[in-house]
Amino acid sequence: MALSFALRGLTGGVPLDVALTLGPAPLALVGPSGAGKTTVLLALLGLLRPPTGHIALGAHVLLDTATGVDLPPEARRLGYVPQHHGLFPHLNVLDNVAFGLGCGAQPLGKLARRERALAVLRDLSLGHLAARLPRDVSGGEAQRIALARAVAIQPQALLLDEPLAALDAVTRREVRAWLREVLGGLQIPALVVTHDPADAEALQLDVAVLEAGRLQQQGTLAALRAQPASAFVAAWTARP
Amino acid sequence: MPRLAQAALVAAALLLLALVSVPLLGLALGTSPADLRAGLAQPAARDALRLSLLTTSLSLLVTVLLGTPLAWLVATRQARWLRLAELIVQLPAVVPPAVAGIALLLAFGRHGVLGAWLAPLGLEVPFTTGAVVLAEVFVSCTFYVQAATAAFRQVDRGHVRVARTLGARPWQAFVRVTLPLALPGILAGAAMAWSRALGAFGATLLFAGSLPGRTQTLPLAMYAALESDVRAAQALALVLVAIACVTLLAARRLARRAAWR
Repeated sequence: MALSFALRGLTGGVPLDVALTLGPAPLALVGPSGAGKTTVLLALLGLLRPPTGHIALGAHVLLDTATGVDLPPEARRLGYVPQHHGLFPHLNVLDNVAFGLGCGAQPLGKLARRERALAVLRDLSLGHLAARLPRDVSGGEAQRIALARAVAIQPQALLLDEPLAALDAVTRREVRAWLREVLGGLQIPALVVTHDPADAEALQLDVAVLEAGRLQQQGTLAALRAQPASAFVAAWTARP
Repeated sequence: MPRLAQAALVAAALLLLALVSVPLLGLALGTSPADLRAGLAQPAARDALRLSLLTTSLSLLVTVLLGTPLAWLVATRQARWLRLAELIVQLPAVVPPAVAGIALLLAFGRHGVLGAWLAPLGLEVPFTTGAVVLAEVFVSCTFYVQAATAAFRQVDRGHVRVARTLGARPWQAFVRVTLPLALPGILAGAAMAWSRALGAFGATLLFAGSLPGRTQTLPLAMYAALESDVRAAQALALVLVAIACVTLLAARRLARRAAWR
């Protein structure tokens, strides 16, 4: 299933003009700070509303300002990992992952959702952390748990905001490899905001470049490097 | 010279501490267990204790039920009337309690703004137990609303957003994320407000009077006992101090220590 969207107009203070279609392969969203990368994610999630826009997962319309369709965030089923993981500090790892299973149209009971959450954690080799509080796990673990929590609701697409930014170099490589495996296995549209070309390279992501709210260029890292459309793209893709 | 300056600073600090702690210590040490028992054995003291527990429980209930929505709105919304509301709710902390009592009396009196409404319904508020509760709400609500507002403001809105994306409706996100994260601060505010309500004196005296069994709360009974039986007054005072100390400690613990921090 494809995630396609067009977002236009002043959204959360950023003048957006973006249209993209994502297939099952993940896409990296890059751009200078303030370009509107997080704004795009929040608009897709339904946490910000663009003046005009259209968002659809296949034939399932999430937002269409022309016809007045605007599903609330809880009805969009988009897996989201915010910057700095955003784990709920008052819930242990298991209950963080189980959180989404207790909401929605058919909420699971406490036992059932914990069982399911544990299965998700084990699938992602995180089972041993289940009883810990978020303050007692490392940064890399927290990022993985946050992804597990997003994946647990069986989302139709994934939106990750700088999933690797807060990590030290070694952890970053580890989590990157892990993320590559997980994203490869999921086969759903995924948008990964990043500021590091190495992420795009290692995760083998196509890249969409956002500048001042507009889509500047889109393609493989190699294509961008060969023919950068702007000074930012040239600098960003330049080999160190 | 700096050493002298430092000594002066410490001396000033100690002087203030002494002013606060010596009278309270004196009260505690000057009341023997026998005095305490005898003082509390008086029916007037028992009635006052019972009435105080009843009215402060009710006033806390009213404050929490009405103050929590206000605190949440003030903390999360930008509307201009809420900035004004934030200011209004701080007034009881700066208005002298006796002034509050007179204002309440005038408002709920037969010809008052609110009293004129209630009179046709056969409701007369002044000098009733209800008036005690209202006076207590008036003088204590600031403490609760301020603490709850601060607690709600500290909740990371990012957590609420994540909860929504995970399928939580707005009220579910509130109950499962916002409220638990704000709870330590809210409980600390409730403890402070309750303690303030328990000590309400001026406002209660002017608006509700000092009728034994009906409106004579602990502080009022203590004041009344001063004229007849100093021991009883002392005993009641000691009870109030003890409750205040326990509340202060509880509030500090709650504000500082949530299990997940």
